[in-house]
Amino acid sequence: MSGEVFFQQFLNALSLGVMYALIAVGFTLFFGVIEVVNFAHGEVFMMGAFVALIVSGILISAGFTMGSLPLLVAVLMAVLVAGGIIGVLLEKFIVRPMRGAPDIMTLLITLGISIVMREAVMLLVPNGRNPQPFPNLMNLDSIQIGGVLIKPETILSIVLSAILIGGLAYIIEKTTFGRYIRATAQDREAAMMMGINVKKVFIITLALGSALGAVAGLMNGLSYGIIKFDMGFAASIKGFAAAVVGGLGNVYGAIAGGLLLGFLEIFVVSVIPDGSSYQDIVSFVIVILCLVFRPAGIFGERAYEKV
Amino acid sequence: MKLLDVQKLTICFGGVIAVNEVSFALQAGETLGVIGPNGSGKTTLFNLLSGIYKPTAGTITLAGKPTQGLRTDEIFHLGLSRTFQNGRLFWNLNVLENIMMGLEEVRKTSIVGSIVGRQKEKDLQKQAVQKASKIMEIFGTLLTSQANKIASDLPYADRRRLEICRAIASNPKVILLDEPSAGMDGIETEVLMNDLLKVKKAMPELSIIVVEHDMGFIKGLVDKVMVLDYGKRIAYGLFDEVATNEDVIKAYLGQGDEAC
Amino acid sequence: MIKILLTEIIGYILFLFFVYVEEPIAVVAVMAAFVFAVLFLKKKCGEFVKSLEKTYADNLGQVGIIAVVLALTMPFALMGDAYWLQILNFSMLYAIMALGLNFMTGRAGMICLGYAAFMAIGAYTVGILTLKLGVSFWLALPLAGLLASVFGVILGLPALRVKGHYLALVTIAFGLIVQQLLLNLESITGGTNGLINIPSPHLMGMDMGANLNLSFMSMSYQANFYYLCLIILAITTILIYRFSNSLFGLALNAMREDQLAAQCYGMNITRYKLLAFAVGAFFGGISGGLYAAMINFIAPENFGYSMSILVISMIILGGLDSIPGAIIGAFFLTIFPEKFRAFEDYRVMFYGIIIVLCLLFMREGLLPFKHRIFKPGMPKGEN
Repeated sequence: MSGEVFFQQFLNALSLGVMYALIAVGFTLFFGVIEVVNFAHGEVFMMGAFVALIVSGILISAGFTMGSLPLLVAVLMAVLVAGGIIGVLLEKFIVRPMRGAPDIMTLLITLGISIVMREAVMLLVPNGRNPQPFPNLMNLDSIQIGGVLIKPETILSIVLSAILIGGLAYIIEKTTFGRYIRATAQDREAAMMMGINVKKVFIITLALGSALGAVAGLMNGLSYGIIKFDMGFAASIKGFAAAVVGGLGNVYGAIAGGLLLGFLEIFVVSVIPDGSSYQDIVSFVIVILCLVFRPAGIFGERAYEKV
Repeated sequence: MKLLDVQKLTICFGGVIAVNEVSFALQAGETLGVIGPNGSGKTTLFNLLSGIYKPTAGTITLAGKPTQGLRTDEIFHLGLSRTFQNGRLFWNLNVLENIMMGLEEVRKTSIVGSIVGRQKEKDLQKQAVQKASKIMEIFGTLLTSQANKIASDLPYADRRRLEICRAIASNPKVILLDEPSAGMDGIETEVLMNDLLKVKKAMPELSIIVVEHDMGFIKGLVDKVMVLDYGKRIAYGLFDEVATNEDVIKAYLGQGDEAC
Repeated sequence: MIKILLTEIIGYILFLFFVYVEEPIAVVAVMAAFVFAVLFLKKKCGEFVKSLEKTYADNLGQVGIIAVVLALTMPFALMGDAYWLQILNFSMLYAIMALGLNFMTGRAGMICLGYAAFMAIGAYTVGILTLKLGVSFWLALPLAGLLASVFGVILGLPALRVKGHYLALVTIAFGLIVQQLLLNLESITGGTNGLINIPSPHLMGMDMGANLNLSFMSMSYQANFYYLCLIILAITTILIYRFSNSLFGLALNAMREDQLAAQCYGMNITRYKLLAFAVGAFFGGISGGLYAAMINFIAPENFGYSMSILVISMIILGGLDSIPGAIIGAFFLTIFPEKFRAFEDYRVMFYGIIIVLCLLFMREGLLPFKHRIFKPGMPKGEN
C-alpha cells in the first residue's frame, strides 16, 4: 500500500474511530455509573442526525447560508441540546422506573423504546423509509495534498470529537461534579451516604452520554451525506461492541475501543478483497472473540460482582 | 482423621496477596471460627474452599480428595456447602424450593425423566418436598409457617435461617457459614446461636467453619478459632488462648470490636 | 368444570365477535368494555376472581381438554374463512415459538434476542429436505427441530462464558450471522430469492395443500394446517409444562435467580444452560418447519431481527416464565393487529410500545407466572 493510500485510509479510520468512540463512551458511562445497558443509545445517534437535518432545513429557509459558520454552530448546538434532552427523558421515563428490576427487564425496555424511536422517525419524517440526503453544511472543497483527498468533514469529525471527548474527560477528572460521577460509579451506596445527589448524577450522565451520541450522528450525516431511519441499529451494536472491548465502565477503554474498531473496519475493507461486505461483521467477530477470550475487555471492566 | 486439610493456601490478585499461606485442619464434627479485621481474607478463604477462586498455590484436601482447582459444583458433591455474606438465596423461589435446591433429588432428575417414566419424577418430587419440610423443622415453626413464601418476602432473620437450611439440606460434611449473624440484633443472634447448637446436636458429624465478628457468638459455638490478618494466619487455637494473644489484639486495635 | 366451560365459551364467542365485526371502532369499544369488566370484577368481586383462578389452576387438564375441543370446532364457526384460519395458524406457530423462547429466557434466564434464527433453520431444513431431496415432511419436521437444537447448543457455547447484557449482544449477533449465512450460501438456500414451491405434506394420501373436502362443506387448505398446528401446539404445551414443573425446571429457575449460588449447590451450569438452549431452539425449529410447509415459500428476510423482537414482546406481554402467558401473548399480538390493517405501518412500533408499556406498568404480564404451593410433607399441589 502506498504511503498516500495509507494516509488516506488512516484519516478515514480515525474519523470513523472517533465517531465510534463518541458512541462507546455513552454506553460505558451508562453502564459504569447507572449500571444499565442502554440499547436505545444507537437511536439517540440516529436522532442526532435527524435533528441536524430538520434544524438545518429550518435555518436555511430562514436565511442562514450553507457553509456559514453560524449555521454550523447553530446546528451543533441544537444537536447537543436535543441529545441532552432525549437523555434526560430516557432517564426519567425509562431508566428510573426500572430501578430494582432485574437486568433483563431494563435491557428489554431500552430495546422497546429504541424500536419506538426508530419507527417514529420512519413514520414522521416525510418519505421516512428511504435514505434522506444530508445537507452539505460545510460547503467546502476537499483539500488535495499529493494523492490524498482530505474532506473537510473528516477533519471536522476528528477535531470536534477530540474536543468533546477531551471536554468530557476534563469534566470527569477535574470538576467536582465529575468526582461525583466517579464516586457513584465506584460505589453508589457510599456516594449516597456521602450526600451526593445520585439522582442528579444519573440525569447528567444520561444527558452527557446522549449529547455525545447525538453529535456522532451529526458527524455521520456530514461524512456520508446520507442518513436513514435505521442507522441507529448498527451504531448500537458497534458502539456497544467498542465499549465492551475497552472494558465496560472504563471511559478511556471506550475511546480506545472505538478507535480500534474504526481502524479494524477500515483495515478489513481495504485489505480483504470484496471487503466492504464484511465491514459490519468485523465488529461482531471482534466482540465475540473478545468476550470469549477476555470478557473483561482489554482494559478491564469497572464493575465487580461481590461474592 | 482430618476431614479438611488445608496446606499453605495462597491466592494473589494482581499485586495483592489476599490469602497468604494459610494452613489449618478440621476434624469431623469440629467447629472452627474464623475471625479477623475486615479485609483480612476471610471471605476469600471461603471462596477458595468452595471453588469460586482457584488458588495460586497450596492444597485443599476434603475427605482425602484434593479439591483445589475443582469446579464449585464438584466440590459441593464432595460434601462442602456454604452460605454467603450478602445472602444469596433464590429470591423468586419459595422457601421449600430454596431448600430443595440443596437436595440430591434435584440432580437425579433429567429432562427426559419429566416426560417419560413420570412416576419416578413424581416420587422424587414428593421425597424432595418431604425432606425439605423436615429440614425446616430445625428452626421450629419459624420457617414451616412460611413454607410457600417467596424468599424475597421473608423477614431478614428468616432469610438467614433459610440459607442455613439450604446449606445443610444435602447432609454435607463441611459447611461454611459467612457471617450468619450479620444484621441481627442481640436477641436474634442468641436465638441463631441456639439454633446452630441444635443443628450441631442433630448432625454431630458435621464440621462447621464460621466467619464472624460477634465474639460472644463465636465463643458459644466453636471448638477452635483461627485469626487472619492481611491474609495471614496469625493465631490458631482455643478461644481463650487466641483472645489473649498479643498479635490478635494488635490486629484488632482501632477496629472497635467487642473485647471479651 | 362448569365454570371453566363457561369462561372458555365466553372467550370463544369474544373471539368470533372480534373476527366478524367489521368496524375497528366497535371492536375496540367491546374490547375496552371487556377489560373494564375484568378490572371491575377484580376490584369488587376479588374473591370470585381468585376462586376462579384457583379452579383453573387446580384443573389444568380440564382447561386444556375443553380448550382443544372448542378449538376443534373453530374452523366451522369461522365457516372455513381462509384468511382468519391462516391468522390462527400463524398465532399457533408463534405460540410454539413463544413457548420455546419462554423456556429459555423466562425459565432459565438466558436472554435470547436472535430466536428467529432457529425458526429459519427449521424452515430451511424442511424446505431443503422436502423440496430438493424429496424427503417426507413427517421425517423432515422432527429433523428440523433437532437441527435447530444443534444450533441452539452452538449458540449456547459462547453464551456459557457471558451473561446478561453480553449474552444479549451475542444472541443478536447470532441471529444476524445466521441470516447472513442463509443469504450467502446461495447454492443450498437460494440466497435472497429463497426457496419456492416447497411441497405440502401428504397425510394418508390426502394433500394438505388442497382443500379439505368434507361431506357437507369444503374448506380451504388452511383448515388442514389448522388441525396440524393445533395438535403440535397442544403437544408443545404439554412438553413445556412437564419440563417446567419438574425438578429440572426448578433447577433452571434457580440458575436464573442466582447462577453462582446454583453452582455452589451442585448444579453443573454448563449442562443446564446448553439444555435450555437446545430445548428452546427445538421449538423454534419445529415452528419454522411448519411455516415452510404451510406457506411453501421462505426467504431470509422473513427471519430477521424484527421477528426475534416480536417473539420477545409476546412473552413479555404474556408474562415471563408463564406458559399460558406465552400462548396468550402470541395470540394477542398476532390477531389484534389484524383488525387494524389500515395501520399496518405502525405494527412494529406497536410491538415496541407493548414492550415499553408492559415493562413499565404490567411487569408480571397478562397471565403472570404462578408460584407453586406446596403442602409440606405431602405431594406438591399444582400451580
